[in-house]
Amino acid sequence: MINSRHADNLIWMSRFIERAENNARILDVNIIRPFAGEGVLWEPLVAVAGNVEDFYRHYSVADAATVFQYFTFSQMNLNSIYMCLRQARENASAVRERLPREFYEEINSFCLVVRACINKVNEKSAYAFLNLIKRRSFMLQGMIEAIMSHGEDGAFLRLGRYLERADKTARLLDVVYLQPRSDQEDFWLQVLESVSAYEAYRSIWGGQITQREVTSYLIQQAEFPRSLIFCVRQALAAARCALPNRKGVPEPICLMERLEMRLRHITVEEMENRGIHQFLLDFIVENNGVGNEINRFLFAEEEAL
Amino acid sequence: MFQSRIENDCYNEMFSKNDCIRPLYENVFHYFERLSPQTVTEYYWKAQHMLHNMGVTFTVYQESSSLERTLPFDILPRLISFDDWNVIEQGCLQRVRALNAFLYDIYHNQEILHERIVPRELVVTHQDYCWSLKGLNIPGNQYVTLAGIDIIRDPSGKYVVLEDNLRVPSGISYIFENRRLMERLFPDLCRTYPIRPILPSLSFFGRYLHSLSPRQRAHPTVVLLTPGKYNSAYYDHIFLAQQMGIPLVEGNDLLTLDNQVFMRTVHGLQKVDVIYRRIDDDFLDPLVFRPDSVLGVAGLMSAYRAGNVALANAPGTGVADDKAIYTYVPQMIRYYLNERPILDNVTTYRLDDPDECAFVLKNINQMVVKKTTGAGGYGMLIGPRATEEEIRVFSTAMMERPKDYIAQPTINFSQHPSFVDGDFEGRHIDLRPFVIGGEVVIPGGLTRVALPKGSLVVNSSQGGGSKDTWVV
Repeated sequence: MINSRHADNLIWMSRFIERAENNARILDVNIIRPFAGEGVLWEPLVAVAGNVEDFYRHYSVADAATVFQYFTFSQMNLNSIYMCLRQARENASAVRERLPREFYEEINSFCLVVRACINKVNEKSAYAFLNLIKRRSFMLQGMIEAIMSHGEDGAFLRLGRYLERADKTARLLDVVYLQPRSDQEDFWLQVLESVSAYEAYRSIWGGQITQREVTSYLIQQAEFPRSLIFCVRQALAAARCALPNRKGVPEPICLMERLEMRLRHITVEEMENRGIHQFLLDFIVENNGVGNEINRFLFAEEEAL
Repeated sequence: MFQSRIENDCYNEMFSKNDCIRPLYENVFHYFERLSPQTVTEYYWKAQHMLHNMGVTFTVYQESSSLERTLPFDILPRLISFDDWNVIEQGCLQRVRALNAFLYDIYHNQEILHERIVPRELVVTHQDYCWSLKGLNIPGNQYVTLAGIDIIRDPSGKYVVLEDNLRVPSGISYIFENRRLMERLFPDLCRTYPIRPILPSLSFFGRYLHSLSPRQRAHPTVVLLTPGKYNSAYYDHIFLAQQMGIPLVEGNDLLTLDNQVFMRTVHGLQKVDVIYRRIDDDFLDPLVFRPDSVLGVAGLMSAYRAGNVALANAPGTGVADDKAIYTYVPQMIRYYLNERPILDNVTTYRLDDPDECAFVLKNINQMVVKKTTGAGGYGMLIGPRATEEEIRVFSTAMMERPKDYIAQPTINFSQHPSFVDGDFEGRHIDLRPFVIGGEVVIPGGLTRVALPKGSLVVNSSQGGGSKDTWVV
């Protein structure tokens, strides 16, 4: 039986790996392939992986260079790629005796490699660097599936991964809605590419690429592994395996079931009536709520016996 | 390679007095001799890189930052012949048996004290004498679950015991990591020797901990209690927990209820049967020892006394590895086991004896003086290397509190070629074999190297490194 602190460490290790990868994706689409024509709105982008106020405490302007720095190596930003990996590694260290040796070596050397890149990545090498982040993240995800126990430990890892991924897909969508060119087709193509959904989307929708279709795809497409509903369902399945019934169904599971139901039944029109921004914001808040409930479940003293 | 070979005043593990290679080392010598210094340097860096990636590091915490260091790994292996090993193994087992009998005795009838073989006040006034253990029968009567015996080789080549570590001896993981490195770096060299395997001893350790469980159950809950990642031996803790498949817990993960110890799990509370603890006595239980400790578990000693949980090593073992008690170990072996000591002690002078004290003060520039409570290479004076000022300070302290110090003649313990700055040079080494459950000695043990030239201090806190150790 896994100790509560270890369960928490597994969730957060997994979350931070996923967060680092998503940061790389967001940068990849916004910085490596800058939108043609009018400039990007950088501030909303900052909001995806950090805090705008905090950003301006350290940088005077938001532009490609400062945002890149803030997202990748900044040690002031707890959600920068480097800091995410550091925290992933710290969490991994705390549960190290449960992890396969190869897995720990991989995450450890990943972190060391990124640390060695600090101050060495420029605009030209940015693509290679972001690609490295994605690839090594895939390596870790693959190891979790291929060499780790799929019992309790695996369930906590998947739980962390999908909660984080749902959050990031929602934030990404939210940010792109604010961009000035959100009515143009090539813009949405890039959004799809940032979540590696381009080919999968094409195979379903063919040439039809509009804001509405892409939005609905990333929220409700049940088979695409980064859509909101897919992530919520996976997180739910993981939670059912990870969190035992103590006094009835654990609260985090109830919350996730409600969330899943809402995503399943809502139509694009309803979302648009409420405002996509508001809808995504509500989702993000509720998804965070699940995380808080899991924490309470793990460490609640009165329920312990 | 192998330039400066011999220093006359000490034993060299690899070369004999007339500069011949000892037969045991022939393969090693020829293997490394044909390599260029560049190649060896590459191997050296490869090893460091592997240690970093494997995360075999200890963290040095300073005021604001933390530094991750690897224990310097010396790629030249140390070899011990089967016959020599037999002596060391039997000697260590005998010693731990006697020390364990001594601990049982001082916490029960105290016969050795009644017979005045060991002075009573030395034991019962000792800061580590644990009064709450008096009269208590502990699981298997085994106080010393893991012991590390520090052994050196004197100029004649004889193995002698420098000290016993019976509290929470560290360094065991390096034995296994060093072996793993050697097997990865030099698989061809490893194949040329029939090296005694070391992994089975860890399985024994796991089984042994299980056997301590007070409850008769097929799968007792065994945990490793660590002070956490800030401890310099944290890697040891991770490694052992991983190898034995037991949870690594901190004080906060445990709690006591009705004299039972529980672990917080996602399924609720789970009863804990055996705790292999790597935190010092002082921090185990704030209700009994230091009240300001946040590392331990409140109520743990009470649960232990009630017989509901086993602690390994038992509390209160520190009294037996004290440097003053050490001088009585040969007597203990004769008294409890009626045997002749297989391994001798280093000659040791007790400073509370006026004659011995006068002798030590007269010859202090040839003595090593140690505080009886000191550890980690701190609180000691190495006479031949000390300044006059240091000697003056130490002598005054010794005269004031003679009971707190012991003195030993400076022994130039054995040297072994070690890779330093692109060349193999002789460096002093010691050996720490680990005894598990008083029954099994891990073949080889940890060889520590004093890397600074001429240094006699092997502690990692003072620039020590380590070598893989082969029993062949």
